[in-house]
Amino acid sequence: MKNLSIEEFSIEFVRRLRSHCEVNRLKPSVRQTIALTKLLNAMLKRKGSLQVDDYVRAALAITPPELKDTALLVLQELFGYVHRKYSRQPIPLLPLFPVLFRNRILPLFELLDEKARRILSKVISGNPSALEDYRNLAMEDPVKAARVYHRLKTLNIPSNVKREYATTLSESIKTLSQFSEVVRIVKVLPSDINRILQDAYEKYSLSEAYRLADRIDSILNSNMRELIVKYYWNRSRHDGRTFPFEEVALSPAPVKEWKLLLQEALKHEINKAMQSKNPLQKLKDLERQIKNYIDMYDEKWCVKPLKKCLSIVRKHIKELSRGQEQKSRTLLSLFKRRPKMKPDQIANMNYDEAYKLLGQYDVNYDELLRQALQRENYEVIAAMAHRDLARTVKAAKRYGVLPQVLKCLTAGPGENLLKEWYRSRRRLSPPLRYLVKNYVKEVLIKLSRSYTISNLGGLEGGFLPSYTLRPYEPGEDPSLVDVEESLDNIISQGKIPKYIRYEDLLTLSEEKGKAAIIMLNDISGSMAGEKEFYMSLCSMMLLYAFRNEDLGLAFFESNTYVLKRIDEDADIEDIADELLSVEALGGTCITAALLWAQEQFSLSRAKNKFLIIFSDCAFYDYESALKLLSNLLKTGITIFSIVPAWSYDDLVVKTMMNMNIQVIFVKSLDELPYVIAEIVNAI
Amino acid sequence: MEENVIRKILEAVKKASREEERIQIVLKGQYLEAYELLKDSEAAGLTPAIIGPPGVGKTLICRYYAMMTGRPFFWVTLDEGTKPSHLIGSFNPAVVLEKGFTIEAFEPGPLTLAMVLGGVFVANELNRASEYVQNVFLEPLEERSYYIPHIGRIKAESSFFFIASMNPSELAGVHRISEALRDRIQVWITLTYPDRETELEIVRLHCKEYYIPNDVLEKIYDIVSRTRSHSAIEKPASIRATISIAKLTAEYLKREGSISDEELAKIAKHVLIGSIKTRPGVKREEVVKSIIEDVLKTKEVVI
Repeated sequence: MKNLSIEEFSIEFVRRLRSHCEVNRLKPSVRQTIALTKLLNAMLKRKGSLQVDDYVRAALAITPPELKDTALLVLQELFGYVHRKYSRQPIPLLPLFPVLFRNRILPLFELLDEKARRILSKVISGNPSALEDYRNLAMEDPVKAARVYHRLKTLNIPSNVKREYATTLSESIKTLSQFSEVVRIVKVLPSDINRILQDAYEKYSLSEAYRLADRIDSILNSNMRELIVKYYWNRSRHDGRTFPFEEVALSPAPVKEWKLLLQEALKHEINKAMQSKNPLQKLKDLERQIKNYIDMYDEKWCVKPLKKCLSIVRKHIKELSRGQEQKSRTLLSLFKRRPKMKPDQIANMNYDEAYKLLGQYDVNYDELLRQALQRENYEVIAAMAHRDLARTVKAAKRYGVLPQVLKCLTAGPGENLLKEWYRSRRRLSPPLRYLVKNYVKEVLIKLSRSYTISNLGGLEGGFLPSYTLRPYEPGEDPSLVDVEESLDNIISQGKIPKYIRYEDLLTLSEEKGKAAIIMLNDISGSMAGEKEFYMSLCSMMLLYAFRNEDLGLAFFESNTYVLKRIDEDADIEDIADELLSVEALGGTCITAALLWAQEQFSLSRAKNKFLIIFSDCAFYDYESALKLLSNLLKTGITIFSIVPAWSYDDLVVKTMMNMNIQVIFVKSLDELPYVIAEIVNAI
Repeated sequence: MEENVIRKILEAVKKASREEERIQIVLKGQYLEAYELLKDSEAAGLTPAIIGPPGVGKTLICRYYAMMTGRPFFWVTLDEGTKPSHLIGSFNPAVVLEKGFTIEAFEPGPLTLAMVLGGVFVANELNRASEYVQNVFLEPLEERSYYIPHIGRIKAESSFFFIASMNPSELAGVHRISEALRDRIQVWITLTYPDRETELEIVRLHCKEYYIPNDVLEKIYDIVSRTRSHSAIEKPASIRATISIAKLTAEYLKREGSISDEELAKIAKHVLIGSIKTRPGVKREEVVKSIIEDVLKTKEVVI
């Protein structure tokens, strides 16, 4: 391939670009080959001769914006060849043309900044200060230095010089995160691994460190995870640091230190549960959590210690259940000794007063219910149900006044009833739960409708305006007539004024375009609590706001629960029913939900597509999730991720932000409906 | 219309054409590259598009190109409401009623004028136009002609040159360019925020009548450039914002003699609040406050 002509270079560049491009729509055609040839010829005519720079500049210029990064990669492939054949001096591939892309998936090909380029030029020209400059750069930013070194490796310079740069880079790696970033670019190991482990222990949680180590191991096939686990165990033994059970369980390593860490974490978790208000419930949650971890792993060395933990927790549950009855009695007697409020003091109150006092004092619910019914004070009954739904309903059943009490449930603020439903529903027997659910459902529907109207307005149609012209109809507001279009219409028909009719006048009417929206809600164990209430509310709000659009809804933990497909008609009652039945548990795996979302988007013909994810982003399957998210972004889908500010996975969230996913932090769950409203209004 | 007003309008037109001749630009770095690529594209018969965030000088470089090549300059900023008649022109209803669809009744639009007079035409914000309007450009780009109803097909002068300019696709509110139009644009010139040195030179060029100490100018640049790397900001501050802060600062300096960081923070705040757009759910006041406080190390910026 000696003496490549302009035409041959153009054909070769476009051919390679085409083979690298995965999206058919973007594949360069023969038009680009012709354009490149023409552009290079024009440059040649103007300048008299062409340098490598010119080829690179022209090739980048004829490449559409979406493919500029890929073009750089192709040029990098071609570069060695081109610079040897066309130029006496080896000229490195420098970004001669600025590229404006935030979403760079391969950091390897990220452009070098001015400083790095200058160092690279110094190395090439053999400037003696190059190594010193490189050392300074490496101390300041080892990742940037790794990129420079990666370029250096491809240059024709002596191997002992290259080694010097490698050593400098190796010495500059001080943290685990730097290490993980550097090995993604070049396979250079840090000179002092102990310093890295020490720094990791001081800065990162176990799961963060493990995740970084996992990345390193996947590239180098090393044992960094084991080193991390061993180091964390040895240090924690001396300084008494403890790790959450979840973190340890999710950071497995085939070493005895992991088992020891697991035992310590379990001990700590059990102690915490025993000190909580409801130890039995806490232990049962822990048992369910461990079962999930056991299901997650296949390796024996992983499952065995977890099974041991499970048996320990079960033993505690058994013991506690035995003592529970006795304890209840003791607790009851304690309450009896407390100065309590007499039911007749509350029976005449309004909802707000009764709700407040019921939260502060212990009151005889049976007696209060009887008195409130006698006085026909339904507000007090509502307050009782909103404080303790299960207790009130059970009392009503005992006295045979269940229908009357159920009718009172919808009095007072619906939020209270809904929150109480998610707290109390497990204490109700299935038939009672079914009866109560119908009333709660009514409240959920009313509440979400009012939230939607107050935050999003009526939204009769869609929310993306487009304009169409139609003939004016007698009786319509004459100010709607589009004078210019009407005149065009009249003139094009050649009409004179006396023949002009109503239908010759045209009005501009606003129509709403369609959009496709998918919301994925994380209901894993890590997000349990009041979240279920807010998730339900937001899902219902979206259902109301987008009832004329393509809307899909799903919840996910280890499994994915589809509430509404994008192409099915929503029955608000059915969805509400589902929302009230879903329970938060399990681990966080989003891949299946994302695949479902991808499939749903392909069913919609809407131009504008949005994906809203509410999650703490502690995905077990973060690697495949990030890949899928990047694919969705490539297809033009806008992604919003709503993240609880008090707890989230820092690394995943940062990566998502770098990918140009719009991450919104909520400081408390109360903000969630308003954030959803804000997103809807923004899009 | 009153005679006085007519005179004023004519004066303003003259003044504008005088200013047109005095376009000043810092032709170095990416701007020199872009200028040369425009030249090569035209020589090669290729249609270029300039892509870049708002306020990086896309229109200015086109205007400068027209000026340097001695051709009339026409430009239209497109949006959802733009109609084909805004580009091609339309028939004056009064004249049509009197004389019919004759050439006298036709009032040409900027695209027609550019084609007939052989000028440079810039379709600004091309990816904000609806597909219906985007299709108007197909024939002029492919055949260098356009069919005007009742008049016939017009052929463009050989010096007619079409340049598209648009925002990057990640900015909200832009559409995808139709496949047909995309196929007819062969050169994609990307402009981004200039490097420190170039931007400071641009600012100095726009503030020639003022004296601003270098350290103050550097601080202004630091504040503005921070908005361009902030993850919560969707549309960062442009060079226009740097110039605005510099001019306000210069006026302050002219009046007071010196400026403290607190005063500079106040000025920067007033400009930045209106010139950035944050991502949904992020309060712009808070972002502006944190950036200024961070760069100037001031205690508290009152927003």
